[in-house]
Amino acid sequence: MDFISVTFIGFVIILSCIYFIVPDKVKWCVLLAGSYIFYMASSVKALCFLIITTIVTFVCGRILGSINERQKKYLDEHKGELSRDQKKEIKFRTLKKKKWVVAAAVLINLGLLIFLKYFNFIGGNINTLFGHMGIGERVPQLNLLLPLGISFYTLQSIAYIVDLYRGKCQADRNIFKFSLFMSFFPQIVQGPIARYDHLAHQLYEPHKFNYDRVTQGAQLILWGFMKKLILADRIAVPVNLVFDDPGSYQGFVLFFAAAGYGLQVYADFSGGMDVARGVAQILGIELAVNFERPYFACSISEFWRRWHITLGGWMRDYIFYPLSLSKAFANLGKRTRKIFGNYVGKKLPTFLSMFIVFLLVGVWHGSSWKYVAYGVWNGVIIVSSILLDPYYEKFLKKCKVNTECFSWKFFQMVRTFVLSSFGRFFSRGISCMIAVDMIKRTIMHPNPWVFFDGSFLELGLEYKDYYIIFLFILVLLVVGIMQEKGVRIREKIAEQNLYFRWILYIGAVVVMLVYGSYGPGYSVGEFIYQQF
Amino acid sequence: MTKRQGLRLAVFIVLLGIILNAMVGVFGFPPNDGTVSIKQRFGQFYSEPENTWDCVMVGASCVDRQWVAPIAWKDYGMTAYPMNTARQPLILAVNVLKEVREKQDVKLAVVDIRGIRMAALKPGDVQMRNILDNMRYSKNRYEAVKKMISFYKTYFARDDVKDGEKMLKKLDEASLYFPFLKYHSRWKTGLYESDFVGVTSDMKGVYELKAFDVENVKPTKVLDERKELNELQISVLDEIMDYGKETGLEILFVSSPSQLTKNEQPEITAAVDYLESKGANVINFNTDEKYQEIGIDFSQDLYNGHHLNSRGAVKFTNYFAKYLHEHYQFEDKRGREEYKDWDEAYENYVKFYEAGWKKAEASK
Repeated sequence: MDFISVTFIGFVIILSCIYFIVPDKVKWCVLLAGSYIFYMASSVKALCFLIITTIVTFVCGRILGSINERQKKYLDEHKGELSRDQKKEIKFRTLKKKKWVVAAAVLINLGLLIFLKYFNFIGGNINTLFGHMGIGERVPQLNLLLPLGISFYTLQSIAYIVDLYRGKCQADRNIFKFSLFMSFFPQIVQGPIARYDHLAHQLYEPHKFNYDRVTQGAQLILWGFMKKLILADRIAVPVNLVFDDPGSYQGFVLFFAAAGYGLQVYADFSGGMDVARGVAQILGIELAVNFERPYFACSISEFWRRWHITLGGWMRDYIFYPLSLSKAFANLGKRTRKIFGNYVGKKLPTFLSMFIVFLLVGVWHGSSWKYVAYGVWNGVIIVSSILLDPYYEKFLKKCKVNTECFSWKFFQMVRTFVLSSFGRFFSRGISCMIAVDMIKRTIMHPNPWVFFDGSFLELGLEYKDYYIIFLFILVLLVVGIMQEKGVRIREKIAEQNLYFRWILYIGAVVVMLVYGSYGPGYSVGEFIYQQF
Repeated sequence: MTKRQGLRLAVFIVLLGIILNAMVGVFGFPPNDGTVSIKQRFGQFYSEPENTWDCVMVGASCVDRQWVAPIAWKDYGMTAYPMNTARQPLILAVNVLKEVREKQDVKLAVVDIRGIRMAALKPGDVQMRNILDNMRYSKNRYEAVKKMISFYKTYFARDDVKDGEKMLKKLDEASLYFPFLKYHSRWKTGLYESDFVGVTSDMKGVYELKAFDVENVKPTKVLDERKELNELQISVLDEIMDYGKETGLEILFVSSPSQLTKNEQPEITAAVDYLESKGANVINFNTDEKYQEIGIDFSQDLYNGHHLNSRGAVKFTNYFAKYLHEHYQFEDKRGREEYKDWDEAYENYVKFYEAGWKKAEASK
């Protein structure tokens, strides 16, 4: 069931009505049933994988929970009897047990994800290697099903298990309630990647109908639909045309396509998030924010703190910190200080962890070398910018550049936009080599005349479409600036006169329906992140 | 939710509904040069007073090219209105008749059978939309869309049809049910006054665009050949006949006069034979005898091979209106107050006809 469909809107309305009508005790059951119906509407077969992950995570969670409880109970019971070393010994033994459980859960859940998503990629590469060695193809290519949202719910399950291991939360005791946490329909397709301690209790608690909350949720859904239909699916037309036949274009057209793809993904993904958050808000559930105006970022690292925030947060908490704070990395830092000096030696564990994180972020997007390159691109830029930071500061000081004024910040934003756009060549390009070639032809063949000779009108859009794109970007910009300044737009709207509000809402619906890219002649694409 | 909030929500939904309905009306079937007459014809149909028509004519574009309703009114006081569209899919004839009979208690339906040829039955997007997108939302429209889609699939699934698979992929079902999906992007191609205020025909469906063009075409060489109808063609004709029998509506099938090629004639003649064999009333106007009786001059009375111009239309209407008058005894309603707009339509037509030919003569 696609978010952008009449079926989905009908589904949300019916589900919400049922949710608010039924007694409080069974409200969560309605959400669970709705979530499973939603998932089954997309694929019944894929449901098996979701159920497997749910059961494995729940069982492992229960084991971890009982280990935690037993340890606590034992320590409480023998509070005065145990020496410090004995306590340490007990904790160490418990930790060891817990590690085994975590390893089992992660191995099964992540194994499932890796097998379904990356088996053919890994196998293909092994076959290529074997081919070079003259062994021949040994690994078969399988026709594997990629369950909807597997990349999202797998990370969610791992976060739950690790949080239990760390004692951050209590194990869930009800498998049906836990199934709801794993499958909550607005966020299973493309996130946000939820944390158990933030989402679960919201799902299990009953929520009463709240008129203001419902209208605010509806506004968010409408805003998401506008982003997707007016901007993302419209800009997708020239982007697809160029990326499907990159050899026919060069210079600014290629850059326009890459930058356009960035905007497309932003409008598409953040639009999808708005729909998900809006639907959840109607039901009284607050999902995590996944975007904070990434194109206002002044550096690539800031860009990634504003873009797909829940993935970044997950990587930070479950990959970056465990790696950078690990003994192995600390030792590595110590050893390399002697070779590279204090600054690099001190930073090396951080750099390495960061690099691994971005590599994983890249690979998480898909099973292709181009995603590896996408991760490397971001990793290299971030690491090198930190590495070169002292020299950069010296240079700015020497050139007497005022870094406190708007023009400097604006320059940084443009620079970040350009760098992130170049990265898009990898994530959208047909292959890694083609992406490299596109970058080469973008830089080597500057052709500013394409802005004046009508070249852009040959990319599947009419000039009126470009007006719409431009106007909508302007609207996004104004909204973004207001949000940056701390204005809570929906609350501001709520303060206005009823007539103004209604004109605004009805106007937005009309604009979306008229200027949206859908119907014959257009193809409403599925949400991009749904594919990941 | 408080009562006040509930009321507010209800008012908002109603207001939104009204605005969306208006918007759907504006972003509808485009009224350009080639299609405005269809939009006018349907607009006029929906604005006509109830139960004021005697007869309705359905079929392809040839119907309104040959029929001048105001002349028939002037001469006999009969109200016979053309509800044809360009290459009207004959499969939808029954639905058009149903639509008409929702408003008009017609006694006779004249069905042109040019569309029975296998090539003419081929459903095209424009042909389907000419009818469907001009029909108001109703159960009948829903059934018409459903039937058209089913026919489309049946037609293109046939082995003897070229590019069937490609055409099946091209079918956009959703926008046939809800044309706004197709037309919402008309903001790019332009909207006209007629999109906002609607259009009607002030000459009761008289065709205007090329009415004064003349093309010297070769007269039809009448052949005696027949091409056997297939089961699809027969089912289309049977459906119309069955509808007439079930509802008591008299149906007169006609083969409109025009230049018919040697490829076109055998199927139409076979259809005439089939209808006659089933006891239906049929007139084949594509015989030497009929051409002579009507007085068709192939060098002067057509604007292309398949369509009469206004001169030919007057000749045909004079002939056919007399036939209808003699065979169907429609009540003479001339002079009645509720039919005043038919008198106006005639006056408009006379002006239109005279001015049109004057202009055509001047431009020679």
